Amino acid sequence: MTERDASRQEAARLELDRGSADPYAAAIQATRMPIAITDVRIEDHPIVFANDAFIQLSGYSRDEVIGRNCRFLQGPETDRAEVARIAAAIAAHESVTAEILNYRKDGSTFWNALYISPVFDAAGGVSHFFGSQLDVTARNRAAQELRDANAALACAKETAEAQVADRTRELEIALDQKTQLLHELDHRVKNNLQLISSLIQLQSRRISDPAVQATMKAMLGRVSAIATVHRSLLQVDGAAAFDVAAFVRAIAADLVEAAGREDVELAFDLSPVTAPAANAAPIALIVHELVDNAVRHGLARRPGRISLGLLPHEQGHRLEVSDDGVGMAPDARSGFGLGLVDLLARQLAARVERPATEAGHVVAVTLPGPDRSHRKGD
Amino acid sequence: MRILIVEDESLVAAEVEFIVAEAGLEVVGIESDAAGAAAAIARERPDVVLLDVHLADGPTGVEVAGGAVAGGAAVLFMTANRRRLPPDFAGAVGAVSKPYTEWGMRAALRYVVESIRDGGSRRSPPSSLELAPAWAERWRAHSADQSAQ
Repeated sequence: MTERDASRQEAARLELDRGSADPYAAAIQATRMPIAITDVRIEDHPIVFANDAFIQLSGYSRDEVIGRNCRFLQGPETDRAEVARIAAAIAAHESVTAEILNYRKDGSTFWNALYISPVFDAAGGVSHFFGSQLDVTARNRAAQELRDANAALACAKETAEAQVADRTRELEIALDQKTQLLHELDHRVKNNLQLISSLIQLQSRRISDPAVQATMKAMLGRVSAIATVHRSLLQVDGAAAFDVAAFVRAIAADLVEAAGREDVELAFDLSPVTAPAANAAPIALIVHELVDNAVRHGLARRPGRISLGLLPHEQGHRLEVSDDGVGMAPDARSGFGLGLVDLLARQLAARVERPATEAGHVVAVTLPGPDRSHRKGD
Repeated sequence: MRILIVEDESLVAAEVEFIVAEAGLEVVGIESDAAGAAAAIARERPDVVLLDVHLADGPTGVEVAGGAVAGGAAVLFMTANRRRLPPDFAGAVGAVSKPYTEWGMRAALRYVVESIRDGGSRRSPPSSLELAPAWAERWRAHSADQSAQ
């Protein structure tokens, strides 16, 4: 009798002993978990029982399964070491769990979570092995996909972080270079303005003609006004605007002190006004001319008071410079300084008024708001 | 009082020399780089060093200030590069920012010279002069002592 016949005989015996009337046998037969039983007493441990779930999982017919050793489920990719571990456990009559790659009849594979345990007979010897299987392909695939996804995510995150770090570094370098260039440029402009001031001062010292010297001094004052405005411009970072009120205060104090006029009092009524940096120099020159005029003409030979107002106006801001000095003869309007004021006011689209007063002199300059003063070609 | 001018722009240095002389002070030298400044400080022992930050040999003014202060001189920076100064002004009494007006420089020099001579001042410094925090404190404290007596 061949092993195959012996297996079939044992299968028939089991079938007979444990018919469908036996609830245990019925349960084993009907459970959704694939189950097989092998017989150790027959050569090569053939399968003598396989339930419907096992048949379904393997793709083989019951007839093809009965009488064969379980190794027909193995294939080229099955882990040999794991198979050897299972064989050793069986040889030692021990139970074993393992997860191996198995092959169906059609060649497709599945991950099989095996649990194999010995079945003892009445005499205490091992007669059979009971093997339950579980197709964990989907679970493994899901786990692998999750691992792959996590790895891909970690990789993407690392790449993104590296890119962000690179870009940040590049931007920082670019910003740093730009800032340095701006500082260098600012430094040079200030130094050159200083140089121009020093040059005019040096030359005016060598001039003996009082009229020429006065002209040189007037020019020096104008250059200084531009220098002062530039100094206050870039001391605030951003540099897009300049503080008109602070400038008016500084230039007026400097002019009065520089003239040594302790008898001239300054009165300020300045609201906080900023102007676009592009308008800084013209505004500075206008303020300089008006204050200088008050000090050197209006209050030339008498003590007095210069009032400086900077107030919001419906069309922008109104700058008013007045003194309680001698007033001005109409022909004094032809002076270069006053011509300068009219010229620069036109550039700023500002309106200059010299309202008549009972005493002293008033000049009011209405500066348009930022939206209007930018308009070119007016 | 003896003044050393350290400035690499010769026209600016010449003009500062006039301002110093007109204030009745003695100019003991004009130097344009760190080495010349250090030698002049050792040789002349000036009371005040008027010091540009950016000199002929680079931004060495701050370094020169350290040596001048160690040598017992008072240092006043004149600079278009205020950002280069450390928070303690490297021991200098203060700084005048370029471009200054002629009056601004005169007023700053006068204030510093009077404060050194008197140990302080009751007036507030001119707007052209930014005092180093330590010196502002010292000169204010001294003048407060004076008024208390």
